[in-house]
Parts: sequence; structure tokens; C-alpha cells
Amino acid sequence: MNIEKGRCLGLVGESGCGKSTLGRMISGMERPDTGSVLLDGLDIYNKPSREIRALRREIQIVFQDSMASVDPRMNADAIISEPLINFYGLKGQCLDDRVSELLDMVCLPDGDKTKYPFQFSGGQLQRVCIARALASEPSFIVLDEPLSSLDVSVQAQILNLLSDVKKATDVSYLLISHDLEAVYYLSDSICVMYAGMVMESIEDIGDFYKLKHPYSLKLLSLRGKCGADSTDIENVSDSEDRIKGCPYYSRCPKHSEQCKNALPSLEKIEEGHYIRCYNY
Amino acid sequence: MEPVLEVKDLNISLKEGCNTYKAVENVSFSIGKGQTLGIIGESGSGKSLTCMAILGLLPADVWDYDAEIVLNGKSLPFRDNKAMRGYRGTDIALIMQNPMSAFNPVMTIKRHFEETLAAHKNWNKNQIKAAALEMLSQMRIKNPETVYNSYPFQCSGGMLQRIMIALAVIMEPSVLIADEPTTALDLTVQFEIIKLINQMRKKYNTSVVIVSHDLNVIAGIADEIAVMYSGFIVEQAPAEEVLNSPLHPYTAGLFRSRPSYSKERLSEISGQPLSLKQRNSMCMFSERCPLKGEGCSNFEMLAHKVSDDHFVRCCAKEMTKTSA
Repeated sequence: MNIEKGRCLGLVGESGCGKSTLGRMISGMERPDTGSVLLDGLDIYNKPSREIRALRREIQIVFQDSMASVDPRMNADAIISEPLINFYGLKGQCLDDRVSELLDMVCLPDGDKTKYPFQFSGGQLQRVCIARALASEPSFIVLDEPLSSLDVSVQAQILNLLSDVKKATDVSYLLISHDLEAVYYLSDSICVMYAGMVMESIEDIGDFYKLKHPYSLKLLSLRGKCGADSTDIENVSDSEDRIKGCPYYSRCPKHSEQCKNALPSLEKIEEGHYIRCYNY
Repeated sequence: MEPVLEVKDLNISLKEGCNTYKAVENVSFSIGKGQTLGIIGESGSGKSLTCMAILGLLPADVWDYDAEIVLNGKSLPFRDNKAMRGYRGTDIALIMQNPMSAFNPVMTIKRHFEETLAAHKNWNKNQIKAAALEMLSQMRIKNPETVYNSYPFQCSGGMLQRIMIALAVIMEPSVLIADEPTTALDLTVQFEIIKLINQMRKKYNTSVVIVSHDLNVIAGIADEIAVMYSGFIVEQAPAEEVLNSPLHPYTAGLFRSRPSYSKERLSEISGQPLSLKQRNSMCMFSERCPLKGEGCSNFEMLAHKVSDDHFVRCCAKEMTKTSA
């Protein structure tokens, strides 16, 4: 996959499908076995660790669980100052002003500087995390489920905030989420993952309704209506049977013999639309 | 219809030194048999406090609370921890938000069932096992026997949530409180859990209080919706009415702020809810309200009845009603 400057790729899939691992690899936290991650054409893993450290300024990440991603003994001021001190060596009044500016950007009052993580609500703390990510003026931000711990009214604020920041700073995003509506709102292209593989990808979000993979369709059908009355509840077991073929085989409504025996490859079916399925 | 659970004038305040701060005010609701009440609200609005108060689980040295809670015609002794033990699990069961932390990590699923059932029923281990396995397979767990003997960390979040529902409904409680049952779960799993809760409700005719901030979850399951904001129920009505014609500006704003497959800028509710210490005698929502008028600054959050089963706490609505 590739993400252009100032654009956002939405990555959708359920937990355990490898979305977050991919996000961590892209942000330089988890070394891939094979393959490479290029930032501005440079391989971020094929470098001495000192240079990788400098790259951290360019790639930032916002995690799902804001409470777990901050030091509980640091106040908001210290949390946001840390990248400013590390990367820019700011101090004194300069540092103070920049922190205020960042807090203002994420719509938090200046007085929140002295607050500690436990004094914030989940939504407020997530803003602090976003402010921290923005502090180093990165060119790329990995957003790992940034909305799922937030309230609906706050989600809208954060989505608008992220969209404003993208327009203002030309930063690129990888938005990892299971909320398709949010992904549609913020992203320019979309990728559907299942069991560690890209199942379908669309380069132009305008073609969203062309999503065809049975798994994408399942995700689409879930949003918006909950259907509590239907009785077709999926069975779960503690161990999935591993098969050679398509990993979605056992849950797929359209599965055939072919799917069981061989893994379909990611085929291009039209310009900017790739799919991994025999029977779409 | 005779209500199963009735909460009257629930007030909860936080004690801090010699000050008290009101966290939940005048919350009253009742649920009929087999009915589902959905409570929506943002974090800090008092949803979970309300649930915990019903179960008598708020520590008395931190929270000061007062209410009349009536279960099946009898008043609940929520101040008396010992007496409440007889109700928890048997009459009122709780499904918690995070299935990963709700289980004891060093106890097998089997021990969890044994602990719960031994506390309330005089069953031997074989009876418990039979009942548990039956319940687990009702939860659509393919291999209940293996799961029964496994530890919580060996199960996925969705599976643990199913086990938690099994543990909650195995005593056939008359009220099931589900506090954000799907928040920690995947989208695909979320709806399975909602379906299961709904199925159990129908089967045992249980009344369900479901708390969530996810509108989709509430919309799918609730018969009646209560919208909470800053400790007040600001709007309460049958689900259809709230979803189709929300009256309170907060409710309406909440529905508008959901992205719905469009690139148009989301209309957000600006600002933040007041913190506990900022609350005063004005309308709690007035700072963020698009309909803010003069009456808002000394509005005492009185309930305004729109119809028999629909009320709103908003003075703007009151004004339009009286002028109309």
C-alpha cells in the first residue's frame, strides 16, 4: 500500500487481523520479517538506529487507549513538552507558548496543563495524545483506533479536528478503525484487512460503494442497523481451523471448493480497485 | 403494566472533604417486565453511577446517595451491603464493559461458574457443570466443554463477553444491567452480543437496562431511551420517538454529529460538558446549546412533559410549547 502526501488511508478490519501490527511496523516499532517501509523513498528499517530515532519526528502515532499511552505521573504540560524538548530543544517561554498553542489546537483550556492523566476524561486525554503527536510537526501520523474510546459527540469533534489538521499541515494519515462511517469521512482511500491480509482496497473513496468482497459487505451491512431481532448468531470456538485456502472461508456466505484449497491472490479488477476473492 | 424495577429520585453526590458535588440528580425511571431501557450519555454524565447505585456498589465513604429503588414491589436495601448480596446476581445481574478485566485471571471459567452458583444455589459440582455447559452452548459457543475448563486469557474478548452474559443470566435475574457491554469489542462481535442479550431477554422475560454511548447499539435494542447529560435525564421517551424526532437540543446534536457516509463537515456539539465542580443552577447544557436563550441561565432543569411518555428538560422547548 502507499499513502501520498496529505492523504489518508483508512484501514478496516476486526481485532487480531493485523491492523495495529501494520501500524506499528509503519511507525518503526516492530521490525517486519520481510518487505520494507519507505518514508519519502527511504527505507526506515535499513538505517542505523540513531537515524531511526530522527525519523520518529516524522512519524507519530496516536493510540487507542489514551490512558495506557501516557505516563500517569506526568501532567499534560510534561506530556506535550517531551517531544518539543527532545526534537526541538525548546525551553522556557517558547516551550510554554508552544504547549498552549497545541492545547488550543485540540480545544483544551490552558488551565489543563497542570492536570494529570487521571483527572482527564477519555476524550480529553485523547486530545492530549493528539497534541503530543502534533508537537513534533510530523509528516505522517498513524491513528490506531483513535475514536473507539470516545463519546459520540467527542468523536465528531476529533474527526473534524483531524480533518482540519490534515488540511492545515498537509500531514498524511493511516487511520486504523472499525468504524466505517468515520473512515469514510476522513479517508481518501480504503483498505479492508482480514487475518493479516489485505482483502480489498480502493484508491478513491468515491468508489466506496463498489466494495465487493464478502467480508467488506458484511462490515458494510453491520453499520447503521443493529438488527437485534435477527436470530442468526454466529458460533464462536476457541480455535479456528487452519486451512490452506482463504482465511475467510469458514465464515464466507459465498465460499466454494476452490476457496478451501488455494488462497486467492490480490487481483486488480478495475483502476484503483483490488480484491482477494474468487467469488466476489 | 406493573414495573419490575423502579428508581425514584436518585441523587448521587461526590464527597470531597467538607464539600459535596452533585453527580446525578433526580433520576427516575421504571422498567416493565421484558422491557429494555437504553441509557445514552457521554462519559461523566452519570450513566454508570446510576447502574452502580441500583446494585448498591458505590462506596459510601466517597459517594453520598439517596433514592427509592423498588424491585418487584419491594424496596431495595441498597445501603446494607450484606442484604444486597442476596439480590446481586440473583435478582439483578450486571454485565460489565471490559470482559478482559471482569474475570479473575487466575480462576478458570469453571471456578467462576462454581463461585457464582454456589453462592446462591445448593447445587453440587455436576449440576453446576451441566447448567453451565447448557448456558454456554446457548451462547453459541461451539465447544463449551473446552471453554469451561480454560482460563480467561485463553478466550477472546467476544467469547469472554458471551461467558459473562452466561454467568449473568444463569440465575435468571429479573433485571439485567448491561453497562457498555459492547464498547470494548469488535464491530462484528458487538452485534452478536446485542443479539444474544436480546435473545436472553426474550427467553427469560428479563428486563434490561443497557447503557452505551453508541447510538447504533441503543437504537437496535431499546424500547425506551433515556438521554443523560451532566447527571440529569434530559430526554426520555419511547425509542422510536427519540430516534425520529429528538426534542432536546443535545439529543438532536448527538444524532447529527454521527458521520453517515458523507464527506460533509460533521456538525459537532462544541465545547465540553461541565465538570462536577462547575455545575450550578443554570441549564447544564446551555454553554453548548445552539438554542440558548435568556431563560437558560436560571433554568432548574425541570422536566417538561411533551406527552404521557415523553419528557424533556429544556426551557427552549417549554417556550415554544407555551407560545404555540
